[in-house]
Parts: sequence; C-alpha cells; structure tokens
Amino acid sequence: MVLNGFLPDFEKQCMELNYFKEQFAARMEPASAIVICRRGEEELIDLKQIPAPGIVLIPCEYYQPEAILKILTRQMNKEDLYLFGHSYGANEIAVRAAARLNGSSAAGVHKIEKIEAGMMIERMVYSNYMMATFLLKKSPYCIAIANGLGEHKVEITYPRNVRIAEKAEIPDFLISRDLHHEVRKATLAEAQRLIVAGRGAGNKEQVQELEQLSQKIHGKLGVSRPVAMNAWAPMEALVGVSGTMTKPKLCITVGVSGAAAFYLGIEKSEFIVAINKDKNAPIIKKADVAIIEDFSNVIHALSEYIEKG
Amino acid sequence: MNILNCFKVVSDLDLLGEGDWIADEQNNVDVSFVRTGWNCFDESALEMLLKLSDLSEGFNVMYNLSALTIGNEKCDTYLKTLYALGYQKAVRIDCENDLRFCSDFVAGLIAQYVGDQGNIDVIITGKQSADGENGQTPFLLAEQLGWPHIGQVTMIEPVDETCLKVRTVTDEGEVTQTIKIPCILSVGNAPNSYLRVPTLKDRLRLGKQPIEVRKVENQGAAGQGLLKLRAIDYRRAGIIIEGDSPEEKAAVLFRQYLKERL
Amino acid sequence: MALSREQIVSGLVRILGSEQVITDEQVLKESSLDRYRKYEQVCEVYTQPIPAAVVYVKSTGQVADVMKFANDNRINIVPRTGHSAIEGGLETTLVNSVVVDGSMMNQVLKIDTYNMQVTCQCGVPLQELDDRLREMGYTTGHSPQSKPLAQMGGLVATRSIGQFSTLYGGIEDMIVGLEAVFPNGEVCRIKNIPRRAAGPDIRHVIVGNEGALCYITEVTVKLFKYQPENNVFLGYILDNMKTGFEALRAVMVAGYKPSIARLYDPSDAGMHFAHFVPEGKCVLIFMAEGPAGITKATAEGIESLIAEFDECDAVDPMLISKWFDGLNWGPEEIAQEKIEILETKNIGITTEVSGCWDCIYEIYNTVCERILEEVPDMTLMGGHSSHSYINGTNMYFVYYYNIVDCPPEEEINKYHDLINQIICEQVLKYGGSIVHHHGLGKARAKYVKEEYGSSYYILDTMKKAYDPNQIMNMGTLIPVTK
Repeated sequence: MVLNGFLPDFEKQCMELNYFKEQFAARMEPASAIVICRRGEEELIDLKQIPAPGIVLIPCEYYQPEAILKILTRQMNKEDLYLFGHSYGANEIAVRAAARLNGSSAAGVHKIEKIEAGMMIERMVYSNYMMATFLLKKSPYCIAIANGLGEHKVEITYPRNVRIAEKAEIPDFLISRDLHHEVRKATLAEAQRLIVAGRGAGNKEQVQELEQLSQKIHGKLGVSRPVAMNAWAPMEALVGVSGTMTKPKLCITVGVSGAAAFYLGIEKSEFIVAINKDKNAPIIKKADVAIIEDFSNVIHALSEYIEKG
Repeated sequence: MNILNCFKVVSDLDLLGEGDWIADEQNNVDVSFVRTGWNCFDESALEMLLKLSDLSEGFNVMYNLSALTIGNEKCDTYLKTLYALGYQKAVRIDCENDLRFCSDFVAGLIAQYVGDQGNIDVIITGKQSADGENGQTPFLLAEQLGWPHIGQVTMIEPVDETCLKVRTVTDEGEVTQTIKIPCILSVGNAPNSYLRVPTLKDRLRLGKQPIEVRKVENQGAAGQGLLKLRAIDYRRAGIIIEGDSPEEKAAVLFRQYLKERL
Repeated sequence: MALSREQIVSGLVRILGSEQVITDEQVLKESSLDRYRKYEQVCEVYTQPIPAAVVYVKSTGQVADVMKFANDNRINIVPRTGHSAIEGGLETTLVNSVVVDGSMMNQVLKIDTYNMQVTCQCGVPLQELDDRLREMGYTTGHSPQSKPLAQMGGLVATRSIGQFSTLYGGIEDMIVGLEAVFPNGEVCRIKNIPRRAAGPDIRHVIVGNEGALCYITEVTVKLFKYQPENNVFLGYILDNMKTGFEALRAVMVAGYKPSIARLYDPSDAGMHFAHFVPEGKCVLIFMAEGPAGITKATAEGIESLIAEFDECDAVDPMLISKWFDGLNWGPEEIAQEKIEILETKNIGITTEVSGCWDCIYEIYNTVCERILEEVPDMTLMGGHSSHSYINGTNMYFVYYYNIVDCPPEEEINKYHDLINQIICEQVLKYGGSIVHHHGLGKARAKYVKEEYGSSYYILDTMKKAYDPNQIMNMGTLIPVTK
C-alpha cells in the first residue's frame, strides 16, 4: 500500500487502507508499505499505524506528483497489487504509476476481487446513481480506494523494518509554490451531528444562520455543491463524493435536493432528517423523516426547542 | 500562449427518474430522452479560461483559446457557443464509440491532436465526466505526452508568455504555484465558475465560424472491461411529518425524533 | 388622516391576534414583490415600499373584519395565497400596505364525485388537491406550470390557465361557485349550479379580478375523470413558425380537442429539445387525454391532418412524454435558477399574449425582430404557443438577457419593461391581447386603456363601485395616478 505522510490524519488513512485490505485482500501475502513523507521529518512517521512489516519511505520537500512518481515506480513490482488512499494526491499517483508500469488503475474503488482473468473492481458511475464492475487485466494493479468505506484499527505487533529510498527532487518546471491555507484536521468527517445547507437555503446569511444552529447542537455545518460553488460557504464545508464523506449519528438537511453525488456524502448517517419545500425532491425518499415546508419557520421553532432543552 | 480546453457534453443525469436506471445487455443506460449540458468540471474550466483572458491586458500575453470535444454533431451547438464567447478555434473529433469508460483511448485522441497541432502550450480539462467518473483522463494524458500536470485548479492568472500562476486545492490546503509551459491543468470543484452566456449578436457575429471536424482512424476503443452495471437504491423510510404549521411540525420533529438523539 | 404603521399593526392585532400578524423585517421585504422583479428578488434588493404587515387569515369572517378595517382607514390591501405571481400583482405599491395571506385557509371542504365538483378554501395548494384527487381517480384538469406553488384563490383571481386547457379549458371554464369578500365587508356566495341565465354571469366579476375588486375565500371547481393510461403523445419537427401556426389552426378548426397543442420556435425549442431536435427547427407537440376511444381517435385524426403538411417530421412520442414529466416549476427549480442568475448575470423572463389566427404570426415575428433590434445584451429571444382555440392562439414569449453594467434597481427599466413595451405595442397594433393568462398585474397595467379601448368604461366603473376607497391592490389592473 502507498501512504501519504503529508496528510494531517495519518492514522485514519492507515485504518482505511487496513480495513480495505482486511475486507478484500486478507488472503494475499502480507503487504509492504510505501510512505511518502516530508523530507527531514522521516522520524515523525508513526510506524505502528502502518499495517505492513516492510516500509519504504520516500522523502520529498512537499507532495509533488512527478517527483514522487519517479522514485515510487522504482519501488514497485510488476506482479503486485497496490492500494492507495482516496486523497487527490493518491488518485493521481495511482493512475500515473500504473500507466508508467503498463499496468491498470482505478480510482474510487469500493470492492476488489482477484480472479483468474485479472482483478475485478467495483466503483460508482453515472454520477453515483449506479455501481459498475470492471475487469482489469494488466498488472500491477493500482487501486485508489473510495472515500468513506470503513476503518479498522491496526493491531499488529510484528516488528517493522524501514528503508529510506532516495529523495524525490522537485522538478524545475515549478517556479514557485505558496501554501496559503492549511487544511485543519478532519473535523467534518468526524462530526457526530451535521446540518447540511442546500441551495434551498437561499443565501449566505441563511447559511450562516444554519451554521449557528449546528453549533447549538454541538455539530458542524456541511453544504451541497451549489452552495459551495456560489461561495455561500467555504469549499471545505462541501459534503459529497468530491468533498467530505460523513457518517454522523444525526444529519439534518435543509433545502437540499438530494442528488446521488451529494447524498453519498451523508449516506452512512444513522438518522437523516430532510427539510424541503418540495415534496418531490429526491432527498425525501432517502431520508428517515421529512418536513415539507419552507425551512425558516421550522428552523426558528426547532432552534427554540433545542435551546429550552 | 495557445491553450486547449478539452470538454465533454453529458446528459443531465439528475433528470432521470428512479425507474430509468436500468442497464441493457450491452450495459448501456438509455439517456436519450433527457437534455444534455456541459460536464460540470469542464464548464468550470471553460469559464476559468475566459476569466484568464479577461485578465490578460496588463500582462503582455495573448491567450489563444481553443476547444476540443469528442462526439457526434449534437456537440456542435456547444462549440458554436464557445465561438460566440470568444474561443478562437473549435474542434470536434467525430466519434460514435461508447466513450464512457475508456480514458486511455480519449487521452490518446487528445494527445494525437496536440501532437498534430504542434503549437499547443497548455491543456486544460475537467477532472472527470459525470457518466464515466473515471477520473483518469488528465493523468493519462500527462503520461502520454510527458507533460507536467497540476490538478484541482480553482483559478488561473497570467504571468508572462512562459508560465502561468495557478491556484489549486491540495490535500494539505490551498496552494498557488507558478508553472512553466507546456503543462496540463485539470479542474475539480471551483467556486464561481458557471459559464457566461453569449449575446445573440455575438452568436451572429462569431458563432458561425466553421468547426473543424476530425475523423478517428482507429474506431476500436479499448474499453476498461465493463462487466456489469446496477442501480443503487438509497431509499429510507421517508416518513413525512404532518402538522398544521411549520412550528407544529418542528415540535413533532423535536419531541419524537431529535430529543433522544441530542 | 392616514394611520401610522404602528396603528395599522395594532388594529390588525386587535382583529386577528398577534400570532397572525407578522412584522418580521425579512418577511415584510420578501412580501413587497413577486417574480415580476425577478432580478431584484434574486439579488435581495427591495425597491417597493415595505408593507406594514403580513397577516394570515383563518376564516372568511376574519377576511371580512380585516377588509372593513382597511376600508375604514384607507389601507391598501394586497391579497395573496401561493406567492407565485409573476406580473407584479403582489407588489405593495402604496406605502404601508398590508398583505393578506390566505394560505392558512387550506381545507378541502367537499369532494363531490357525484356532482363532479370539489370545494376548497382559497389557500388549498393545487398540487396537493390534484394529487389527492388523482389517487381517487379524478383530476381538476388544471395544470399551470406554477402548480407546485400556486393555491386556489390566486389561481382564480388571475384567470389562470393550465397545460391541458385545450381540452379542459381555463379556470373560467372550470369554476362553478365562489365566495368572495368585498372591501365594505360584504360576503357574497355564488351557489354551485351547472349554468344559469338569470342576468350576467357575475362570477366573472370575481374570476380574474386580480385582487383589485374583492378577496376570494372559497372556490368550487369541476372534477374530471383521471385516465392517464389513455394518454397519447405526438411530436413533430418542422421548419418554420408560419406552417406551425397553420397546423395548429387546422387541428382546432377540424374540431379536435387535444389536451395539449404546442408550437415551439427554434430558440425556445433549442432550450428544451436540443437532445433530439436539430438546431433551427420548430417543434409541434400534441397530447390526447380522456376515454380510450376518444384519445385514439384524436391522435389518429391529428396524425392524418399533420401528414398533409410535408414539412412536419414525426418524432418518437416517448421523447415528448419524458420531457413533459419534467416541466413544472417548483422550489428546487427556483433555488437553482437563483444561483445561476447570480453567477452568470443572465436572466430569463416570459411575457404571454394572444391573437386571432390572422395576426398571431405577425405578432410573433415583429416582436422578435424589434426586440433583437432595440434591446441590448439579448442572449435568447423566442417563444411557444401553448393554448389554442377555434379562433386563435396565444404566444408565450421567452427571452434571456445579460445584465451588463446595471445595478439591480435599474434592471427593470433597462431591460424588462422595455421588452414588455415592445411586445405590448406590437400586439395592440395587430389587434391581439397584451395578456393571455398571467394577469395584467402591475407590470402591464399602464396599457389597460389601450387594451380595453371603449370598454374600459366597464372596468373603471366596476372598480369605482366595489372599491370606492381605493384599498384593493392599488396599481393592479389600473395604474395608480400620481
């Protein structure tokens, strides 16, 4: 498996890959892991989190795909299966590494199964309305797993042995790089209670009011794509396949229509409440309970009940 | 600087009803009866280039924008719209193949076009299409051409004739990089990027320019080995809370369902 | 002496209680306009006087009390139910108006399947009513595009018409009895009967009054059997509108009553049917509805009639029926539209008119020509005909423009009203009507005298008789004179 040591939540990544490995690749040879990490901080990688005995570290100044690929492909074998995470970087290097080694790749994979003819994989297609099964025929198989599948704590006691590969050099086509705005540790993904604002929320102020409500219930605010695209909330609040995948105990959607690509972002919620003016909105059938009303009066009343306790 | 924007025209999949998600024996889903539109990430890229062009005046760079799509003549109206918006060249690679799941083939066609042209400096595209969701084309294109690639672009700004300033979203946060050409840029979720609308006068003046149509020599697209398609059922109980007023419904919601969960 | 805002509010609270009198600033702002000022609405800019209050009435008695209070104190009342109006009918044009919202009067009082009538209070949403009836095997037959939002009171007040009118008629054909409250508090009930000739049909003082004469509190409309299993769709592609109008006329004159008969011009067709219609073509659509024998005969009859027009090429009816399913305009569509307008500064509006067969093509053609010539920043100009009669048809103009260098407050002058002016001028020139079914509202009230000609005397006298204190939705139908 290939891990990204730059991500704020390294442990989560390991648990996700561990889960996938347990589900679908348990019977295969014990894995080795390649970790891309920050140059100078190799010591900081928490090796205990890695569900593999053999570890190779590829140090790099920052996560630069071309630099990493050059070193990564030298560590990879033709016959193998490589599991990557679901981050932007992982998707990119999975596909490109496979291309360089004349293998096959797939991103957003939900399931794999090795058969005689090759590797069968399942992933979402048609804006997440359907699940497709493909047969990949050429190894190495570079599989970037889907977001939100599951986590399995790493409880391996065997010793790890670590090797540091040659460092990845930043190529010269990049003249400058500034990191502005660091991503905070995953909060939306961990939220136990979520209020999600959709385009029916109407404007920035109402979205902010919903954020206040989310704070009252000690939860977080998420938004659907139209809200983020319109800059009524920061892009980080985006929930869905191209944003954050959540699994709260309680999710209240407000003015959300419920298209599949968004819905997957809340699908694992224990309990979904939908508030929408339109009784034909797709979210209604995908919610546990629904209120068909303009949200403002409902939310004001609800807010009061919550305050009174 | 010559910039090529590769885009796809897709059906509006959110218009399909529950019962429409059926695959036939060839694993095709009938989407012929709903309207088409720009693939959303491609639309962002198209608008991003127009914004770049708007900014170019102070920078002493001329941006020559061209657009490429692969499909049949139903795509032509989109290409004409791009002409009306100020794109200088619009090209269609005529292809009737099932292109849903063959990123390698699509990347190959683009690479071939770029190779034939010989003067393209930047290629920009959306990160994936609504139907195939492969998420591979820009990466495979980078490998085929041997050009650098930057993904998740949210804004492009001029610098000079040799490079571009690109703002992106990465796993670590928002990053601004200056990259030398040639390069490939791909676009994910970028705020404020709906495509502007051309006036009728611009359509009359500019929209009638000829579209270059190219044929594909090898019509056999190597697919990704699609075996099966099935619809996903997300349905839950969908109980609708009744009441005489919004306030009453909120009360029922709180008392019966939320109190215990908060 | 005019009452102050506070006095108006306390007067209303005495009548209705404070829970039914809303003075929340945001609600008041949103209640000062309707979708006529779409761009202002989307940008949340409010140029009309903000009303003193929005009140929710729960009974005819409460309506009467509020009207008497308003009449005694010369307070402008704006009646409202679904808030889906698009011609300014809901604008609170006078300072310190009061919006009287009937949406809480939402009871279906009686479904009478023997007499084939249903009686509702004014706040019954049409979508809910019709869904409920359909489950029982009936329908009102009324299906305007605003169906997901509109309520019965408003639908009658605006003389609305639905997508299946060619078979079922407009609301004026569907209405049976009514109840309305007049400014002096007089409550008038008109009983439910199939027809009578005991003087003029007084229902038509109420139907279409747009809140300028009275407040509608209860309506009874006809019921029809709901037989969707017999629906037949037909679609054709053709080259030009003139032929299209000829084809529509031929079908109507021959005596067929399809439930839908529509003709789309190339621009409008491009927005709806580009996935199966080549650029530059017109589209003709028919639907037959009703008992199986009739729908079959209607479809066959229309088919053979259209076959005589060489220009018309048939399309797969499935494409038409699927398209039709997605046509209505509900909260989701409005929310999405708002986002797109704010992002692209491109906005789409409609204005609909009518004319006899001999002038409708000229109206269509000259309107499009003039608008393209005289209005800046147009991105689309076209339309469709959707309601045909033996003697003519309507024309529903659809137009989009970019809002360029123009603050929201100015948009209506720079673009929307200019376009309406051109349309009205051309229609009046050719002898058509400037309003087919959206209502005169406040948007086109300025042309009321030209529209009516000498018959304006009848309208004017009614207004003076029923609303001598000028409290009913001033500015609607008859413009306010400064």
